[in-house]
Amino acid sequence: MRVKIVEYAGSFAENKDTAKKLRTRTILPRLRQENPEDLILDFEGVTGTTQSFVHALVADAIRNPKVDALDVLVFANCNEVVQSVIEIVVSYAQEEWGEPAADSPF
Amino acid sequence: MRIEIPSGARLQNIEMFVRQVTEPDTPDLQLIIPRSYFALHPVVVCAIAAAGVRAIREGASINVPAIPQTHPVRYLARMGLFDVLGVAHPFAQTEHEPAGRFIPLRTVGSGRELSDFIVDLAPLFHADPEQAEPVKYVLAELVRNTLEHGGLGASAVAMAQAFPRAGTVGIGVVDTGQGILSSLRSSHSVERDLEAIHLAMRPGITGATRRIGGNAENAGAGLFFCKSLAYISREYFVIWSGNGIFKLLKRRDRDRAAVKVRGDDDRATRHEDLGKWPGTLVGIDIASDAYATFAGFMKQMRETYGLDVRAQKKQVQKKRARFS
Repeated sequence: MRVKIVEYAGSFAENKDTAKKLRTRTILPRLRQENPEDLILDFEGVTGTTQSFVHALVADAIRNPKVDALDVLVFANCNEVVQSVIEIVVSYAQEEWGEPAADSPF
Repeated sequence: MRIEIPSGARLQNIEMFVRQVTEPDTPDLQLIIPRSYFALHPVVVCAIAAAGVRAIREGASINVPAIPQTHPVRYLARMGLFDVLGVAHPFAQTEHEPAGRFIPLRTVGSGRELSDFIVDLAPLFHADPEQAEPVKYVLAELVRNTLEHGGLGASAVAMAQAFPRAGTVGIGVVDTGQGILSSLRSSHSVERDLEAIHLAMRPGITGATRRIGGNAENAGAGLFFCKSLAYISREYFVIWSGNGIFKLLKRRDRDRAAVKVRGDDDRATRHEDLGKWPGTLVGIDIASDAYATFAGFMKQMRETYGLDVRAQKKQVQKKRARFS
């Protein structure tokens, strides 16, 4: 499955409400599946993003010890800046800190 | 609130503006505009506009006794200040700035309005669209802070202007919301405005939760990233909230390039007795060619971001993100 981020968030992905919707309606349901196939988050056409957006998109899933989100998620077509932001969030989300989402299904 | 516009107020001497803001808790706005020349950073224009927005919101009065027909006042008109205040002015209908060197005042009260604002930034950098990316980043993070932490109904007033000769872009985001101290107090033990500002600039601290690292929606990193971008750019960064004022000083050649995680450790000017802002004011200058170093900046953030908490926690074996 491929999700084209630009279709939801535009060329500068900053809207956290959009990120939350993608997280709760697409990412988390995919991760809940048994033996889920890769979920490709395609950033083609996204020229920039904020750490806040990426955090709202994936941090909760990555933090959850019950699923291996990074074994399912693939970040595609990221420019250098977008890739760096994603790497920041992926790195700190694996630290043992932060509060799980109240609406997390795990 | 009474504001008397000073002869000059950029970030490096923001105290000139602070001293001219009196009666902060009074919603009525009185704006005194001098006949003499003045030059203002965008954050100052935003602050005046935000005071006006508050007055309108609370049904208070806005009084501008005189509007001199001078070049600096024409600038304020072009920025849209008098339109925001609802005050008639003698200048001709403003036209689109052909050079695209500024984005006029914009009041943003929702996520949708923020997204529209970000799209509208493009003309400011029509000659070099890549340079818009760091500006979009800063505006998105700072305005989002107001929307999420400013309190019920809080809206942000924002503005950006390029200064080609200085090679910088000045950005201002101001609100008259609950302020940083009130926002953090719900989740953290903090008593003073300046103390709250320092805490808010630490990565992982957000008013949304007491847990370091934030929650699903809030990482607590926006201010830290913006401060860091100014530091890397060797530019100024100012926060004024309540009685606390923090002004990050320009990085010198002998200063280490590594960003400091704790605001208390920053080389900065701090005040707690100069004046009060009823909300939060954030001003930042970034280099016009910041995009060239933006990717490198993000790489440095990756190392620095978790530093504070990581030092206290056991190292975990991490996976890397998969890219294609």
